[in-house]
Amino acid sequence: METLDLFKEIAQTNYNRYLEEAKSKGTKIIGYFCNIPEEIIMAAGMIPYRMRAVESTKTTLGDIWYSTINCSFPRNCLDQILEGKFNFLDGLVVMNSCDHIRRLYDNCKYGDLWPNFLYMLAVPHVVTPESIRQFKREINRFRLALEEHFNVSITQEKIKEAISTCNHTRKLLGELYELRKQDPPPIKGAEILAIMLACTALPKEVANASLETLLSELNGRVVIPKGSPRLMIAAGYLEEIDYMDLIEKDAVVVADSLCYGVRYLRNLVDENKDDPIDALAYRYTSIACPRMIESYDDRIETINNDIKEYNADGLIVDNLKFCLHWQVFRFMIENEIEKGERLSCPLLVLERELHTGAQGQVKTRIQAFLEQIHDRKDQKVSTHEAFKY
Amino acid sequence: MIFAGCDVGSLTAKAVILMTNQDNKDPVVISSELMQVRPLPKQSATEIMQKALDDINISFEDIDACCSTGYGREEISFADFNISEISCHARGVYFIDPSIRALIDIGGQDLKAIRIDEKGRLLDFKMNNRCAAGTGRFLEISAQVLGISIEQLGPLSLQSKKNISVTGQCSIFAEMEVTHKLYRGVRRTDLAAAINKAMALRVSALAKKIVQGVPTCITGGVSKNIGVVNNLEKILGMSFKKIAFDPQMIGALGAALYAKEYFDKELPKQRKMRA
Repeated sequence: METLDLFKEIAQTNYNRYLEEAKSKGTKIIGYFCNIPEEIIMAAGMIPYRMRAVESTKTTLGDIWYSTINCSFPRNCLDQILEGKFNFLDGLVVMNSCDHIRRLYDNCKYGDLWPNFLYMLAVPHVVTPESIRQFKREINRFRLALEEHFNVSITQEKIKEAISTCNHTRKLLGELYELRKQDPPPIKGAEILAIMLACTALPKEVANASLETLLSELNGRVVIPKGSPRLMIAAGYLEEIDYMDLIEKDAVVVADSLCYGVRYLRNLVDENKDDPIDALAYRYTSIACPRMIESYDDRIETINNDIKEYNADGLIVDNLKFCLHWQVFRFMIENEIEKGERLSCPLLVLERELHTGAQGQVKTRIQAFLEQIHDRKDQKVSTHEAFKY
Repeated sequence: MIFAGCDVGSLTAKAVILMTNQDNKDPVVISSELMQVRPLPKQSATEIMQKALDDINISFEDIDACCSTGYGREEISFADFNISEISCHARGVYFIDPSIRALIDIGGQDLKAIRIDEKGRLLDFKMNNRCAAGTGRFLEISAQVLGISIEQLGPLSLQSKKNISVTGQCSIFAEMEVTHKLYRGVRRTDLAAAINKAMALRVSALAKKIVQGVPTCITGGVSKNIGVVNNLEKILGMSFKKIAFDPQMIGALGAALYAKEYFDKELPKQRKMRA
């Protein structure tokens, strides 16, 4: 499993050897938050890099700029920025997906914390013809800003090329997700998370080539006994591989609704549209993310479909403390499951802060949840077999 | 047949030993013991199990199957397997009274509301979130401040004549509040009542959805505090079912029942495989 080891290695650090190599050849790297049209960055001949805080162990510097009721992801991220861990980036694109992330832009701007290209991409929170028109203008503005600052030209052809490359990544990841429908799946959720982290921190060509190799290697791989409990996890930002490992001690995560998950790979950009910017605007507003107003039904339906398609036995909803989007959505999911009309499966609700412990308590909850699933399912595999240590 | 359950919590360790008849049916409790925990779960487990075994003059070798539960469940080497305390409480309560559909378990550092179905299977549960508010630890800290033992907290509160409240959400802040009020001359009986009421409020906020409208009982160490229980009944507008077993030992009892189940299901399989 050399390819998988490569993905795992890349996922553990902010910077990696592939970025280093590209940088030594003069390629620029642009950091970004959430789902922004990374195709534009690629069309400018640069590498899009999704922001993370995987190396973070503290938030002392982040605490200077953030209050106690801010989400721990941007807090950890800003801490890493101030530690100089993202000095390899040539620019940073922030979007108004939530106020905590947006505040990171404010802090960087106000405190002059970001040394080079800093950009705010305003995305709409509804899908209407007007909002898509507005988003197209925003994407074009972003394109012009990149062109002007880096003295490059971003042509329609280059954007189309980038779209095709990114679509290929999405398709390959989609194939990987298809494999998770098997029982037992040949890959664990923690490994998928590592792959997602790596794919958003590698030049796309490297990511695509590695994904192709990986897909051929996974044939016949066994990671967990047949009949093991299958879980779906729904959360916003989740980058902690060890946390996934904890969840998957006696189970396997087969489906997700994560930023580093389906929300990255679902919905291809339409390659047949004449105007690629138009295609991008449509794709990036079509993601069923809690930041979108009026996407509630869509989100519930997506989760319900995935539970069925991936044959999940239970749903874990996990939100970061102070993440309002997910706190509200979590509450709605709880209500929905209580009613049992549109969504019906065992549910476990967890709350966490990025990179903090309390493993014992999480472990107990997960173990009890699996016992609950087992009780409900009356599986042929006994509880004791699954939980023996 | 002899089956053992060992529940090592954050503050106390419990052991229950069950005996069944020749057909491995009709389990009865033949020994049960409780003690304060030692620094290591393994130490506590071995000690408490030895005590329970000594009471009836049998040894470790006589145990046919053993299940561990509680905070230290993974550290207990003599157990054959472990089950979470949530399932064990459900199983234990159902064994004592099969008409019960929900229970509130208030332990040393955990607070759980558990819903079970008509066959004693786990349906849903809620647990406190990484904080000691509404757990035994809060009562322990408060009793210390009042200079009384934790056992006195319940009876003392019944003598209260004045209705005051402790509003601190967090155990530490609540402790400061109690200290402050004590210095200002508030009577200990009134403070004890306020502490129990605050505790009941925390518990009810978590448990309400799970226990509403179904026969419920209360287990864990805090269920021995009459003040908390009375307040909780008042807030939730229901009365708890009395159970004919030490409510603090329910987890260990559930573990012992799981051990019996394990013996019934797994061992014949293993023997078959060996043959």
